Amino acid sequence: MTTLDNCLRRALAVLLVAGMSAPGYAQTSAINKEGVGQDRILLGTSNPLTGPVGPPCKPMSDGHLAWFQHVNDQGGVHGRKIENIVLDDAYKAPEALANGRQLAAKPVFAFFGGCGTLQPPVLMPIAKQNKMLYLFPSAGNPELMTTPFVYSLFPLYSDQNGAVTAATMKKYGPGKIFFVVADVPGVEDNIAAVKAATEQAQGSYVGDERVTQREPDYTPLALKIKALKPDYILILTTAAATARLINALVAQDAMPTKYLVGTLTMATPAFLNASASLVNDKALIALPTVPPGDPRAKACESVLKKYSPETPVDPFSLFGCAAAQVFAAALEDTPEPVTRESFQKTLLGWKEKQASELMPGITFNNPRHLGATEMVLARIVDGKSVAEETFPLPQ
Amino acid sequence: MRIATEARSGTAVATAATLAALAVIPFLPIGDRLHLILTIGVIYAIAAVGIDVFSGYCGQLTFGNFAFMAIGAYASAILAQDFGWPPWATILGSIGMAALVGLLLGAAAVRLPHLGTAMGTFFFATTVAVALRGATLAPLTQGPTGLPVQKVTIFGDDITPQQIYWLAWILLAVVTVVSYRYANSRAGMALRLIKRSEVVAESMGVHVISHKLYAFVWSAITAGLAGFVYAQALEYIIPEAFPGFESVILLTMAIIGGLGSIAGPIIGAVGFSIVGELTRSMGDVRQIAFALLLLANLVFIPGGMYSLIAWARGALRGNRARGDEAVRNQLSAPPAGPMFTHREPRPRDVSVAPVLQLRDVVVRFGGITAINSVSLDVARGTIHAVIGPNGAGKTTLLNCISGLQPHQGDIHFKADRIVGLTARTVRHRGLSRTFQNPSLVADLTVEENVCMGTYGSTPASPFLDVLPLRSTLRRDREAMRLAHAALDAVGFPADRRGLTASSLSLADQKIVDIARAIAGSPELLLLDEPTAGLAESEIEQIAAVLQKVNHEHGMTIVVIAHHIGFVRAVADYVTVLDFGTCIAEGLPEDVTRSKEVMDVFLGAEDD
Repeated sequence: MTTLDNCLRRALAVLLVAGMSAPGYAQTSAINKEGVGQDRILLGTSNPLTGPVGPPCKPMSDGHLAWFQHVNDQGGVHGRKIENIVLDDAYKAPEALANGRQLAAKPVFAFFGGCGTLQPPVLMPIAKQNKMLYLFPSAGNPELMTTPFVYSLFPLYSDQNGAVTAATMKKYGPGKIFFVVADVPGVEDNIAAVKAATEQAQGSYVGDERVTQREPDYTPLALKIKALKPDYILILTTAAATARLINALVAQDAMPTKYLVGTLTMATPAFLNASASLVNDKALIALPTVPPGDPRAKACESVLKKYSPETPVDPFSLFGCAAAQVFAAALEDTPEPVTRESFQKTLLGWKEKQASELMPGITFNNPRHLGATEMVLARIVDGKSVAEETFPLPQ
Repeated sequence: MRIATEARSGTAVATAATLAALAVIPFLPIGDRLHLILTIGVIYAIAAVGIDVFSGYCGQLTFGNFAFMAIGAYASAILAQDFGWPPWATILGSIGMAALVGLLLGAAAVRLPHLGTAMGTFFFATTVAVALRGATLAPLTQGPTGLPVQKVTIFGDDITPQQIYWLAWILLAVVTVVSYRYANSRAGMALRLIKRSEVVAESMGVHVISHKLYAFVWSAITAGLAGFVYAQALEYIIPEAFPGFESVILLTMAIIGGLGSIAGPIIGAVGFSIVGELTRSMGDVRQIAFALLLLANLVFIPGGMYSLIAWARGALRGNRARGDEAVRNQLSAPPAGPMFTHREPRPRDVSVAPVLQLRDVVVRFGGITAINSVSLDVARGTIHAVIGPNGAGKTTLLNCISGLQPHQGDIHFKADRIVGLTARTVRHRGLSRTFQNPSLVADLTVEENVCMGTYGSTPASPFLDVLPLRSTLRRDREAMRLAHAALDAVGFPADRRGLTASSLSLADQKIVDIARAIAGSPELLLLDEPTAGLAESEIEQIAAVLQKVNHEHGMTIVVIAHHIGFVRAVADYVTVLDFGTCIAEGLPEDVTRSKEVMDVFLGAEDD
């Protein structure tokens, strides 16, 4: 047999395996042009399962899949199973684009979830062209809040930071705050929101530092912060960068007199494993859901354990599970025939809807279609994040 | 650091076939997803072909060209959104901005030695990636939020994904044709000479910095063009779409495809994209598998995918490498004649001003005096040998004359002071040289190598070289005529002039090197150890060539040699150096038999 024959055989085998393993290969009933069939509804997700942001982002789609599997095993929603096609984009724009087009061509009912700021700019034009919905992306992209077919559960970082600043100063007293902010979309909005919240709480905004995700050394920043003696340090960057910053703050004896305040990334196992002992009882976190270990997270945790045992129970997988719960609840509330339009009507009709145990009540009927009205304030204690209270988000 | 892979001529058929294949594939039932992946591959190929000119043909590394794609994409989006340019017109902005930034960066980067260009472009890519997110450019780029891209229209409708493929294909075809012309033009030959040795190129009259800069700017332009189409494909651009590391991927695509072939980087870019797609389902293992695949490619197919095509073509034709033909020709060549045809040295005419005059030339390397107050006169029309043991300073002296070595003292050529002139200027003044190692461009033919000898004496422009202008074609024909005349002058057989230089023996390479040095009709020829490493019969061959060139063409020659028999055979006058000092000079017979010289050469070759 010639080398050429071998190559051809292998190429055909690869194509065959790839084709048969492609999502949707299994024989299933027909769906309409909006991705809805008699016994199933299709959702499409482009998510970085591999690549640099794969570790935090994959648990999010694992959370969707686990909850949908749980729902489907119980007969689906009104007899309709939820099929969530998750494609890896490795956090690369061309792959997200290819995923988006592939999913739109299926067609799927909506783009669902996704993690990171890369996908929304790529997927939104496709959703617009195909008159699709884009549901519950987890990204700090301001465009998401101004696009009518996008519905969010994850507040903009500027909203989160402004709100957590206000909540923290309300509970623990006004004080001097320093803001360490990564180069995320809407940096200026973030700074403005924190300044405004500080002013409103009669605190003092003593400065900020914009950092890249690959700062070589945080010592100069720690020394700068030390000189300012802030009561609070608000941090918005990746888990790894936050851990390195805290190491530098501790090493330079530059920790704030009251609290470090952060977002989702400070509740990840990666961060907690690295830095929990350094910030024990000294860090507050704004979370979109209750933290792992909270009694309200029990259902999702057990579902994750059953259907996706390799997935860590962390704020990302819980948020993914919560998003799936919200979708399932909305589908349940949507009268037949289920269309994108009727589904939107359901979402817009909700008011403080308790669609997920993990989240406070949800209301989408606002100009930004932001469902979350409150967030959870948690404290890091003994290596875990523990919910303290909820605080309101600006509407 | 330079890339040492082969740069190829005559890749037109493979290149055309590659483009033709890319024109056919979209008609196959490949599905929308693979169609898009193919589109992205073709877009990357536009930039990869530009890299090929700079890296494959010029031998320079660039780790920053994806940043030019970013610049092209952002320039297009910003000009349309903020300045109201029609979307089609922004293609000029993409090209122009990439060219401008490429010019500014390249003007500094291409001057940096060793890894300088690679490091400079790498930091540039990182800087662009950071700048796109940062506050400084945010009023234009919208920072991390990014920009929508206004789509170009075709007959009033927004361009479709299928049409974006054809737009990319057309631009790739244009870039490929221009790059092919560039690589195979005189400017391209200069790039290949630079790749071989910048010192040799400069000594042959090539403006090394300019040529490197032109090639770099061309690579930036192609990347800017790719950025324009990339933005059209993405529709909305954000900094995350242009990570700094992607520049390394872009270069990798060109390398695995096969640098120095034009077609190779196209194959690499498209293949890379498709393999990436086919391995997508492998999850985390994909990254490792992909890396191993690349490693295997680099280890087992160092010439890239294109080398497989070249191999397959050879196999189909049933031909062996051209080197075999060279061996056959050598075996059929007439046997060497009798050892050294001696002739009487011609007496020096002191009434005629020397063509070359050195006075008190001194070179110091730190505390070591390499050349110590050397003075010599070279009479017009003679062969003047400079001899001495290893370390005597002979090559350093030649470097002083040819403008490569700063020194003290005076050097006059044809009564003009040439101290402080660059090697290129010295060459333009009519002084040509060879190096101890022949420094031929291994992947060019004998006649193409010799053609390059004319570069120091005729003007050229890389921009015009690319165009098939009548004047350019006429100039190239004249260069080829001069090359054949030079090869005739050194007696190189006509039927072997189409062989690649790499297939020649060392002796033949040295003869071709001499032909290259005389092709531009210099008035003075400097030869650095043309007999080094040769057998006796080959030394005789070289001696015959020098005598022919000197006698029949009246060319003045300064030759460095160790071989006393060779010197006695060819030289009219001899200068002996030892430890940088001139210890004797005079007629060959007298000098080589003096006791002082014999002492110096004790242990060296003698006849």
